[in-house]
Amino acid sequence: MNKNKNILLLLCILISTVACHNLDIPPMNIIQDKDVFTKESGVKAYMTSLYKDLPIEDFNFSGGGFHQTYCFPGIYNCTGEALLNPANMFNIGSPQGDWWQYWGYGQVRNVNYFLSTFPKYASTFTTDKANAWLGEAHFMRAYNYFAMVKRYGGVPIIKEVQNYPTQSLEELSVPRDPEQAVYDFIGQDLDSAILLLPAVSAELGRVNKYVAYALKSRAMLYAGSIAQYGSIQLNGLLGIPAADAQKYYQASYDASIALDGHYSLYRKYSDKFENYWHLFLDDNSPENIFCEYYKYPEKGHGFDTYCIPQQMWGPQGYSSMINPTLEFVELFDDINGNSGALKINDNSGNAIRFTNTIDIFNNVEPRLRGSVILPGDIFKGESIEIYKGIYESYPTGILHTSAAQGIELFNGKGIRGKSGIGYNYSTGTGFFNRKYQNPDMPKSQVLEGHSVQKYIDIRYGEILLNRAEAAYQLNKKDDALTAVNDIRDRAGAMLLTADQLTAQSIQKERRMELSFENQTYWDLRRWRIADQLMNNKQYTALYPYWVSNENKFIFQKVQIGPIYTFDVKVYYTTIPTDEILKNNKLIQNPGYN
Amino acid sequence: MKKIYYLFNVLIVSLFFSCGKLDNYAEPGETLKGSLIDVVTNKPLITEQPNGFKILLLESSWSANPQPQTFWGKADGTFTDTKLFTGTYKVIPIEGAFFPVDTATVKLSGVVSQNFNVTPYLTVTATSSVSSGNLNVSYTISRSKIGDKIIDSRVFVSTNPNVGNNIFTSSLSPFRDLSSIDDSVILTTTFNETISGLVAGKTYYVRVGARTNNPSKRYNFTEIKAVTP
Repeated sequence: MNKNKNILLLLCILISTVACHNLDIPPMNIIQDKDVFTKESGVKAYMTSLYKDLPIEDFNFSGGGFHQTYCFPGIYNCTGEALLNPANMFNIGSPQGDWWQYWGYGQVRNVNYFLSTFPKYASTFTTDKANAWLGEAHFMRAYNYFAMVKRYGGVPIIKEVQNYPTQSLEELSVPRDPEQAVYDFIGQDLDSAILLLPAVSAELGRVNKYVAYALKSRAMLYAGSIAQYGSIQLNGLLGIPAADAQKYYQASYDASIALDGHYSLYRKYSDKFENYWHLFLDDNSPENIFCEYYKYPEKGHGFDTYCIPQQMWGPQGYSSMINPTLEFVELFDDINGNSGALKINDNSGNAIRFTNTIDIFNNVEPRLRGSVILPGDIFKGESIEIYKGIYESYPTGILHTSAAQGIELFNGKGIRGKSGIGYNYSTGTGFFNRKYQNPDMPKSQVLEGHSVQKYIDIRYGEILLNRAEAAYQLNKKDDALTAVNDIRDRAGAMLLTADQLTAQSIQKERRMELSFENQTYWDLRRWRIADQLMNNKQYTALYPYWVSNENKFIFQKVQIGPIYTFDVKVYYTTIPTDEILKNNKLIQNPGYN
Repeated sequence: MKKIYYLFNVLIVSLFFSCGKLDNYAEPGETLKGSLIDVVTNKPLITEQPNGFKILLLESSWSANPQPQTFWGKADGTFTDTKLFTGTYKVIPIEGAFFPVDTATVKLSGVVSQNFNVTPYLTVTATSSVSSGNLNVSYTISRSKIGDKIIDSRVFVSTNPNVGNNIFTSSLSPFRDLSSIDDSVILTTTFNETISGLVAGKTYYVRVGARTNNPSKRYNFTEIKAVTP
């Protein structure tokens, strides 16, 4: 019996082994190139993952990197635009070189793989379709390299897929290329993308020829300012010769001009304040060039949850993660062109009395109201009450303040209003941000991952400012003035005269128009002015107080929060040390060894 | 069942026991010290801490292209590292307010002293006095070698004895933007500052700094002086 069993077993083995005459077949559990690249659905799926990996500094971008689920908008703390709420503001001090990292060679490899493999299968599609996909891939590669070059300066340029172990470690360790070479490579990739891409996006959110022009306008402007304001270090790995500044400004200018007539500023509402904040929420704005879209529940963000004023906060109890500073608010001149410095005292130094907190802001620029919720302004149909405390009489009477979460009363009036200063999870500076906040979200829905407003990565307003900056440097001052005044007219600000137009006024315009859009940090770096703006710098809050016996408000300006110093080494980001350990040909940026 | 659990415990414990062996390499104990001698004053180059200067070490006994290691120098212009391995090091002071210095090669064993002569970007000379509660500071800037453009200067005032560009009271520390003034004018000007708003009887620490547009934006400082208005 046992013997029979053994024979049977032997037979079974013999039969099954004979069947395996061809062992060398492609693995059945891995999808092969020919399955992906010969079907439209396959190519689209591949493209989707490339889009998903794009380093867009969206609502899910924080100091820890991209695609963070729990994500406070921290980058505005590194520019003076805003502070976090008092419970968190000391967690983010002076900008450090290892924040906002992006060493994106995994993503670059995926693009390179597409660029080298797809052409073998391209004949299955019409030429237009195949070219459009290749154009998108060139755009993606440029986008990834731009995200790296603006951080690290020169990085290794890898155009082909690397293979291990076919290639030796020595071959795979690629040294850094000069910063200028990387910018030139980005320019070439975008030129290829412009040639290959169609004029109209195939689908919502996908790129077209003009998106590539728009990115080129931004990238070449950065290169121009690095040449103009930066210095050459590490034998050219960092910096661009100053003599080449004009060349890059010209390239940026030409790219901006190419968008003429294809996009325009958003001017749907005649009220300039209404118009400005709607611009960020309207899906049909002619100003949107490149946007990242969200959809609940697959992909949401928590911008509203983190930033909402305390009186409207959602069930999770987050609030006030962007508290604009008084310095930022006072950047904006008033509608008559006078300085934006708020007058809180009369000429003899006595506090001016106001009936409502909003009265001090009577003449502010509509764009400021559209970007910032001012104390007493209306949001979601409610007045946002922001007080610091109540004086029984001023200046000698007793001052009542409150640090409680709920509303503590004095003579029937909330000591700090409904969203006021004193409680650690409400505003610390006296302001909230309005830009991008959704005013139609029901309170119960103000939750993490539930917000779906799109993130505008590139809009025409930026292109006009790129154009103004480049045109000014190319001595086309009339063109620069027209572009800046186009922006200012839409913002409701006084138009600039020809002699008010300087490199500084264009920079200031950019800081105002593109505030809270993850742009200012990189702008302050490339203009090399961050170390001047942040040298032992503490920011200011505006404290409104209610004077009980007079039934009036007064204001005080008080310095709060950490002291910021921007170390010049932070003009370049730290190369991640684990990358240097993997590839000893990478040279660390100055100041980090 | 209990027995298996017990055996499992023994297994885990024995796994940890195998990690008991100590590292057989002796801890680093060699010392490198020295100072940066300012060739203008022949005294150590005074700076601040941090952001004064760093000492870069390249251990060249094993590889021609070693991982660089650095440590911060002190505010009085000296540096000491007592935890280094024996070996041959290339030593370079970097990122300070002085012109680049030649590399020194040091065979490190025991306590080794290595001084460097450095040429500061700028030399600031200041006098200060207190009158009727105000602090008057006047200073001049000179240089022994032409470098980058002089961009700014500042009188740093603080109640902290470590006053410098890391620690100062902004409202008491007048800043001068010199970036649009020609260097030859700056070098022949005496700058005067009157600082008011000091609290009488309190001790303040004062120093003056000036800087060129050097890549690390480091200041050259005067010595710290204590004043009591």
